[in-house]
Amino acid sequence: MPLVEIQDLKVSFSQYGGEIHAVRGISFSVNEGESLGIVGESGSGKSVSCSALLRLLPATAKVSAKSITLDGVDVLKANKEDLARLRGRSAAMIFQDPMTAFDPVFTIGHQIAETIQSHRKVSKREALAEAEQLLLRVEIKNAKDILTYYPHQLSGGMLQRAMIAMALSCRPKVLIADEPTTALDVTIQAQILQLIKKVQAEFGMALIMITHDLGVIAETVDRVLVMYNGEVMEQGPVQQIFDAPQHAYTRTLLASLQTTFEPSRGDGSAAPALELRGLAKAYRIKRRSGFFTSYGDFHAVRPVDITLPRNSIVGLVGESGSGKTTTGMMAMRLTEPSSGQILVDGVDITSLTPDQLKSHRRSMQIVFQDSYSALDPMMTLTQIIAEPLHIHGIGTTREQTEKALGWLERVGLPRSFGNRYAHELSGGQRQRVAIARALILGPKVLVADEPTSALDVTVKAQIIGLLKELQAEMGLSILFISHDLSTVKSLTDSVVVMYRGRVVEQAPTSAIFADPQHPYTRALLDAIPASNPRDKRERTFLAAADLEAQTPRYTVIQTGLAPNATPQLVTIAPNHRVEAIVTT
Amino acid sequence: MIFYILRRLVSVAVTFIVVSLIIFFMMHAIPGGPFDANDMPVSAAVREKLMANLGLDQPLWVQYTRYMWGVLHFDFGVPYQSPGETVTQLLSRAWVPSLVLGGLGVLIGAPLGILLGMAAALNRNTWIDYLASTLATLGLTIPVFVTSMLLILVFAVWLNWLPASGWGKPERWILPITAYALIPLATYARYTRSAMLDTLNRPFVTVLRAKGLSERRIVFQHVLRNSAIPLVTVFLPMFIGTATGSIFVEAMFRVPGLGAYFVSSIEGRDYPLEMALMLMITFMYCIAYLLSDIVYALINPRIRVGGTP
Amino acid sequence: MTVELAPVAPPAHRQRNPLWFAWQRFIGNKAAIVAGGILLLLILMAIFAPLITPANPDAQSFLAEALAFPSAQHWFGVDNLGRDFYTRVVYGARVSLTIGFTAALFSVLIGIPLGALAGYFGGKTDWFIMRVIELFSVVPPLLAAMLLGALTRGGYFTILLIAALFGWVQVCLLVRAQVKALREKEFVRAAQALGASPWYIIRRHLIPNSISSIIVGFVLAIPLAMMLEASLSFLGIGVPPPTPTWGQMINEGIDFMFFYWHLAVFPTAALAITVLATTLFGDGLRDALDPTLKGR
Repeated sequence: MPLVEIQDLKVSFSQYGGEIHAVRGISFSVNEGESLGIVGESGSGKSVSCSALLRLLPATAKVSAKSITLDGVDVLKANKEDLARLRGRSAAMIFQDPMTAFDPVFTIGHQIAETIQSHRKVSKREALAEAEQLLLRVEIKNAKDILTYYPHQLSGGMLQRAMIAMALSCRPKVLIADEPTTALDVTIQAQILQLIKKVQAEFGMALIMITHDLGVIAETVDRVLVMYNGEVMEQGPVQQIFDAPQHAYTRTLLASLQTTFEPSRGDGSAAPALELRGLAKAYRIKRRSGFFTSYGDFHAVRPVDITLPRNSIVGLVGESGSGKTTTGMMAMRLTEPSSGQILVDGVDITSLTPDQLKSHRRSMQIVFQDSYSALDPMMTLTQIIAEPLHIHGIGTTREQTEKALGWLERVGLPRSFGNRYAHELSGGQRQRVAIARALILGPKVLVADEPTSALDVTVKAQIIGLLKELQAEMGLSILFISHDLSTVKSLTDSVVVMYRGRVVEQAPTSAIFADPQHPYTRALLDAIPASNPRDKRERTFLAAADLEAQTPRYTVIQTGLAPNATPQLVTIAPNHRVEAIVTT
Repeated sequence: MIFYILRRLVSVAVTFIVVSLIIFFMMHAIPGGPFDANDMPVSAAVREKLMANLGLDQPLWVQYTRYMWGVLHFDFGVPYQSPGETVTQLLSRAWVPSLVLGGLGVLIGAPLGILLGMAAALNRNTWIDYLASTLATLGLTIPVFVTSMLLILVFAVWLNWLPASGWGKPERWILPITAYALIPLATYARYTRSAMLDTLNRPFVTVLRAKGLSERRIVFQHVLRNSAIPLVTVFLPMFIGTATGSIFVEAMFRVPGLGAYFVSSIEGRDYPLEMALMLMITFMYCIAYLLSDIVYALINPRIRVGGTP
Repeated sequence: MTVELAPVAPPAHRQRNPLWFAWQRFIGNKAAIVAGGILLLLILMAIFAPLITPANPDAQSFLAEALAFPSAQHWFGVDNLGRDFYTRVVYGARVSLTIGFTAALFSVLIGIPLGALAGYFGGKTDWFIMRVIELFSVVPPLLAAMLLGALTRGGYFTILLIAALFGWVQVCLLVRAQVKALREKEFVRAAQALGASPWYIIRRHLIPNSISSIIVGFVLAIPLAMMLEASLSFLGIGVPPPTPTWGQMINEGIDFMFFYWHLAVFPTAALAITVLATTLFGDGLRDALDPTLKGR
């Protein structure tokens, strides 16, 4: 008998007379020790199904099923005591955002210990000792200290480890991981995935991995369930799904993993479209020491030099907090730089007043990450797209509307959408409108700040395709800010890697993916999940201190620079620069 | 932490001084004084002497500094309406009924309100939730003199169960205490309910359920503790807010307390008494805000423990 | 490359306008509907007062029947000065409602620009406006209003000013919070990147998007102003007699309540119903327009 068995599960939410069918009759089972992946886009019903398994859905949800059994217990008929026993002991869950998953007013130790105590009769001290052991098993080194920490004192990656430790505390038979890495940085993602695999093997648990990311599926599971719009499209062994997908939707999903584009033509002769010279941003922060406050500087971005040649796409990659978005914002002069220069088309715009800057704004535009908040909800699409013309007073209202409608078509939306409002569109459609607004003035430079990170996989591929198409048509130069290395690899001509506010490596895309020099670049590349289960591998991870220690070294003769103990950017090949220490 | 308290103290002191300045100058800026010809028909010489005696002939800022210097020594001057005693003596006599009635009202109303709010949040959309919401809306919107009036009409006039007014015998206290208690009951019920509902909707509650904790433990340990943090900041100031109600309750039930004196001080343009009462209430508000900020910092680990150690 | 999916009809609810959802939430709230109906009725009563009352509110035409109990001729009885009490209560609605609406209007007129400034510019502007609001928070509005009312000897316009003076704080805080949230939105950033001036952004983006908080702030300021007026009139420092106001009538009613209950009951009930209806209507609007503000 399987550990988890769900037959014909239906879940619907009622809302103002209408019914939303989130799950429309799905069935699956999980055997002991097996790992099942459920993959699907947002709204496909993958999380709802697993919440239904533990009866965690809100009271407004209507759940019906032929049967839901977990560990031999009929979940639908279970009473309160049965449920409390099932949750935590038969099945434990890991959630998407570790930052909000812990109660902020209790220590980590308390929260793990209370889980143990609610399932077994042990003293508080024994429970804490066990919690410490668990933290050690999820590779937290200073476990004893971590027990006394509050959640806000830990990073997302650490919290997710603690979350896993908490889930393990009652030796569950199945571990349900609901997008466990989505809220984390790329390098941390890979570590957490590997940890989940490791503890699954050690504790002999079954695993249900819910994700939108096919890479995560390829790395972690044996069997896959592909869901779309509340239904199961296809299921089967992971290798078969990747090699011989049966359903058209699965094929689309897989195709979106393997996008490739023609490289841009590039135009190195004239002045670069955008040039950042020694651009830096420091924030003043308060430090308290006893009675006194002293002010220190937090360097969000150390002086960076980035050149964006005409008609090309440069990728700016790094983890959250690396300063990549701040750099993009400074390039647009949406954030004032502390020092350095911004040259657009050879003109220094660093110290222009807002009025002087206004005419230059026509040649530089930006597309943002969150398509929900990028469009004013009170305006029609025509108004939104025509806004740049309106602000710069170009043409009559009639001409503006006509041009906006033209752009609506150009980004792949019907003209009839002109009178619609943003809430009537899907995420991808909204992002198309945002692109139209940014390009209607015919800019030369476009900063794209994670334009696809909030989108579903298949939609993402379409938007990237659109950007590339428009870039080629208009001869645009794009600064593409992203943490998603697979996209960067397929789209960009060269890559700048940022780490803790510094540029640590920059090189043509092919060079950086073939021959990364800086340890952080290598760590980033190594963290890219496999695009096929055959390619999955053990990884070794470096701590921050190891990264510093492995900074490359070059001699004076190799570089022609004076020896210096602090790392500096060194040119090692044409257009390939890396942060290194120059020795004698 | 000590630094935080000191900083709050300074900001509270500044607020207090600014408010006292505004009140003081406003009261003196408007024409008309206690010895105006039509209010008190005395000869010009006598009026001048009276004014000089009370220091009213000095420039305003001198009057202000002199007054505030006195305030620091608990000397609020002599009330015009009963020159035989000092303001401090009058107040120390008058606050007893106000504190007994108001204090008892809050002590009864606040816990009931908190319990009602909790019950409402935990049993959403049931009769108890509707009862709590209705009571809260009634208590918050209807002026206290209206509720007092209704209480008197029902229990004193029609049913004739309880005496309507006066001070002295404990059975005379029941109606005013009820009138007082309704305000904190309503406010506390409303705030507790919304704070609990906010917490119940946070993701960590789902995590606690998924861990297999009992619903009782989730509510009484986690939800309650988290809801208490925002509540702390509103509770103390609301306590002082009851003081405002005292004016009307005391007027309705003819209780000789602070509120009654406030009304008579305003009617009689009794500057020293008016100032003393306004300053006292402002001061209590300042202290209440200060205390609630400190308690907030103490029970919220984000502030108490700070960032990464 | 193009990826086309098998077309799946998007569920109908996706196409709905946010206002549709707001309307659905509002009509789902029966208390708010009833309250809105009562409020409308009260407004109509106040407007058409001369048409629906039998006498002039100030005329002492029934001196012979002074203090008479309610009857078919005098629905609410006659007061101690021989005036038809029903007429006086209806005319009282005029005072209460005009003061409520006008004061709320003034509150909004002061609160919106200050809130928008504080929220949009932040920094020193915000600091200064917040310190001013802090001053208002330590002075209980009713006491300060009493003081002001007494100093200026009351009167219609004074009451209006006082009510606006203490009403704008709430509107200002609401608008500030809304603008603060909005200015972080990327459509505002996008407008900045296009070179739009702060004034353009406030006018084209921030105010239209704050309209629901402004409406809510306006409606919720009405009962506060009405309560203030009634309280001051009750203490005899509000709108001076002979203008009929409910606060005054309640105050006079106390003296008669043991023998002539009608003088106390009707104005009390009128005030309670009006304030309650306005508040419930405002609460309903708030819950409907902005579900995230619920219960604050």
